[in-house]
Amino acid sequence: MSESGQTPRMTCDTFESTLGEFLEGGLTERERALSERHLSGCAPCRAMVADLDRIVHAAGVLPPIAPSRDLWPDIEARLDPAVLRLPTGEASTRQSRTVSWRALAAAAAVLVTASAGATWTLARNTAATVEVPALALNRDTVRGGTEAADAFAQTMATAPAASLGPTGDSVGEGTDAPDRGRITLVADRAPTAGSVTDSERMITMDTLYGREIAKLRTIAESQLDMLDSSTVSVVRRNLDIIDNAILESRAALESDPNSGFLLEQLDRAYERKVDLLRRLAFL
Amino acid sequence: MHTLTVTGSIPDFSRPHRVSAFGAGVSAIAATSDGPDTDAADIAASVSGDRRAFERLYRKYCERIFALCLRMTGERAVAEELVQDVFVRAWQKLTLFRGDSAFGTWLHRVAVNVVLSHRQKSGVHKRRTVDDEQALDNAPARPVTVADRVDLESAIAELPEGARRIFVLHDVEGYTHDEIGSFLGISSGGSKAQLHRARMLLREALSK
Repeated sequence: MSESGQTPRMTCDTFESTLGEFLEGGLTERERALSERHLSGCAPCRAMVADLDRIVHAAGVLPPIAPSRDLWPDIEARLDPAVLRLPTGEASTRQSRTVSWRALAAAAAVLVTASAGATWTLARNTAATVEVPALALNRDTVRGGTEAADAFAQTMATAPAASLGPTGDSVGEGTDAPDRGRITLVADRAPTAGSVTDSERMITMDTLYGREIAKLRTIAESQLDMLDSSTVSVVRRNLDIIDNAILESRAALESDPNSGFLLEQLDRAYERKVDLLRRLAFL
Repeated sequence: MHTLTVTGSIPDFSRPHRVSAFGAGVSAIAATSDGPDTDAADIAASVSGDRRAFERLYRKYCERIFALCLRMTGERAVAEELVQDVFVRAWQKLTLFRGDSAFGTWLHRVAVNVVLSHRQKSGVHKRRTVDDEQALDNAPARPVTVADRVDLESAIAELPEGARRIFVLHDVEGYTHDEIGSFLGISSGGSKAQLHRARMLLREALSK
């Protein structure tokens, strides 16, 4: 293989051994100069670089690929029903709207605080579904967040005593209530494009995770009986840690509702909880 | 033999042929007439639980996401499963999408996470990593030519998994080495080294 004849020289083997760094801009100025000098005098190495250039270019314009079948039906079957339904279009005229978003946010905050008492012990000692009295928050009677929160707190207070406990899930049974016909919360305005606020995101996140957590918890509870007490203790301790993280994130979001960082922290904490429960459920 | 005129500079391989930061996939999406601007309404509606709106997003992006999953895994059936996982995950996570980037960009990141998570959970990762290293070590030091007819897709599918993932993430999807390192838990330098090996393996495969 030819060389340019200039010194210092670089062999083809040396050039190739540093080619990756050369192409990615990882060489020092001196090393790069040596490589370029070698390249200018070596046709095979130039061809190699040209080949790689073609490959990279071709990779950058690869077309999309259609799946062999329509995957949407399978996807749709796995989508949870929307618990908090924001009406769109004609749906916004529905008569069943019951609470403003502001009131809903406040109610959700109370819900989380109140339902923080739901425990693993509770879940084990009570039926899989803890019935909470139906809640109807009417906009005519509930003017603001505080009133909504009070109304919700009162409702929670009248729930069976077993639904409240010392420790446990930050998202309680109440959040998946529409599935069971207990609580129906419908927003009072249609969202415009890109108008979803962080409070709304947080509430929707609570709802989605709350539903999954409730389902998983029921399954996981039965598994706890098969574990020894020290393991159960570790599981509960971990859940407490996660629950604290959820509560802290939520509290911080109350103060800084526009923080994407905090929203992500809340999401991660929920995800950790779901992951832990899922692993427990599938033991 | 193909030649390339080199006059003191070479193609920028670290950010090659990119229109956007996320490669041809997302660039192509942005170039469509019904681009990201029209996504906002469907995203807002989807967050509120409107499945039809989410289906529209699925229809729009599914082929891009499927291509990513297929190229990352090399297995069509697995890729189709992963596409489902991606959109279910996206539905669940949509509340986190804040519009800081294009929806397609965000969705691609979700897809990458789903694919990588799948590989970790399936236990395939460790076994194949060993295979990767052996395959890379056995790669010919100096391929001779590149055939005019390039079947890049097939060649990518034949790459060892580790090399394929990094090649797809960098050269197809346009992620940086830092981003890839973060995804895979490897150093940026490791990503660069694997990428170069992947390209060399492709060159070899395409020259047959």
